[in-house]
Amino acid sequence: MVQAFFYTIGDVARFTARSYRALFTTNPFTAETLRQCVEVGVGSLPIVLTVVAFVGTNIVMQGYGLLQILGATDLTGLFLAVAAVREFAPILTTAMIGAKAGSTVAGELATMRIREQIDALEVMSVDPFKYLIAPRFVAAIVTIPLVSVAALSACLSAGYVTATLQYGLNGTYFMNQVYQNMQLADLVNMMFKCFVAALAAFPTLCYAGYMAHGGPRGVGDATNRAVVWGAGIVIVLNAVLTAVLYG
Amino acid sequence: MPVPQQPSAVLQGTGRRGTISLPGLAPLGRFLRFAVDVFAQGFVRPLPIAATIAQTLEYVGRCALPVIFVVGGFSLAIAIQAAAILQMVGADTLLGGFATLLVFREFAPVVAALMVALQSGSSTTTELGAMRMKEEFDAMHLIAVNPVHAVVAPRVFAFLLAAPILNALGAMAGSLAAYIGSQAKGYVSAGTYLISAHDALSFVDFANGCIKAAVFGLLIGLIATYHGYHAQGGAEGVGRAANRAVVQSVIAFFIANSLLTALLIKLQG
Repeated sequence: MVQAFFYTIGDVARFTARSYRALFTTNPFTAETLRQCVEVGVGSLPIVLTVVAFVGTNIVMQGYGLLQILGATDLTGLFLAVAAVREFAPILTTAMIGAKAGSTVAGELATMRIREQIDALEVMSVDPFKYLIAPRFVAAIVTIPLVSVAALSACLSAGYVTATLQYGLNGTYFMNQVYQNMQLADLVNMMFKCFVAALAAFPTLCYAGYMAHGGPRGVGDATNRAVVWGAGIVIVLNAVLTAVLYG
Repeated sequence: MPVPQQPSAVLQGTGRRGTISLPGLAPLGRFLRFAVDVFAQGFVRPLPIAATIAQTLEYVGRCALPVIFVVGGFSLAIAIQAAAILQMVGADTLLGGFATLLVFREFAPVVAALMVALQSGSSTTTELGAMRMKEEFDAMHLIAVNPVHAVVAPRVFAFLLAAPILNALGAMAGSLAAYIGSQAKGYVSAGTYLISAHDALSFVDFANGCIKAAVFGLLIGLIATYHGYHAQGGAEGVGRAANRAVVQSVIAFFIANSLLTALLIKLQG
């Protein structure tokens, strides 16, 4: 049991190293990479924006309640800005893209594995890492930081609407609070967090799909494992990065 | 009872001028009918108590570690950010109450539900999808066992029970992690932190979290079993059903979270 665990870790590490090496290729599959960018980035926008917008309203509701204890409800804008840009936008973007695009990618790879299409690629001497993994990996690294910016704006807009309409706070003052407490460094940190999370978690998602076995059940198990591992890695990594960047 | 796959002609729209066509509403109607069916069948005797307990234990066991780690990691990060906010206001001494309240009211139920959706939700969809592919449900109908009563209802009830239990676990892990985060960085002394946390927290906050988690669990269970029960199209279809189940249940429970938070804040006054 313990031995199997360490074998898996070793396997994932080797798989990750091979995925990184596949990124540095002289003749990349450009068209496939662009197609995957649309798939991963644009395909995940609806779920990311919906979830983040509702979280934005929630941050304002909870923050207003907590700041009422201090008698400082004016600072709701500050609370929203700090919470959104530093924690919620990066975590939710990476976790939701992990849940949507990650499970799609793992499902695709698992289906190809079950139908022996990956073996067929190898027979035709096409490196599956270059043809299947690298385009998806590049797409994830490039689009996730960009999606996080869209997510941040959705979060702030939803928070603004809640604060002004539900709690009757002054909109101009609220937005001033938001802008004053959101520096360029915060924005860069947010994109950096997303970038690191994609870099670390995505090969693991692919590994789960790539190593699938056992018919229809196997495909489902692979997507399930990919999603859970992805979410775990992303959130723990985020805690570490927060401690390093802001601690 | 055959499973209707197509919406009725009225909802689908016949294409003639003057007919109302509402394509988005037909799946919603099917889902609601499925939900009603699950509850109707769930209370048919013999009540599926043993199966429900077994499933609940399985869900709690599979999700316990992910929930503890994820709520812990999240709360650690939040304690650090909350300390930064409170230092700006000059109210460092309130860090304990601030962080603990956030964990109990918001993070524990949301993250517990998120992990339940990602882990148990998608694995349940896969399980039921594989059963559908192997025509096990049709076999059950043949021997006069209703699969909604025997298979689906215990799983939905198990989601309803497992989510609050995981919420309690997450709340414990999260408040401990927030405490460790504040102490490791030395923002406030241990005594100040604990007193402030003790003053701020009441049983109502914990109960609120449990109610939220139970509602999320019910939503996730219904959506996951619905997609698994109606899966079609071989191995790829099961994967697609699992994907759709995860996406829809996550969206559904975040929307429900917003509404419930507003409602509970109103009720608390």
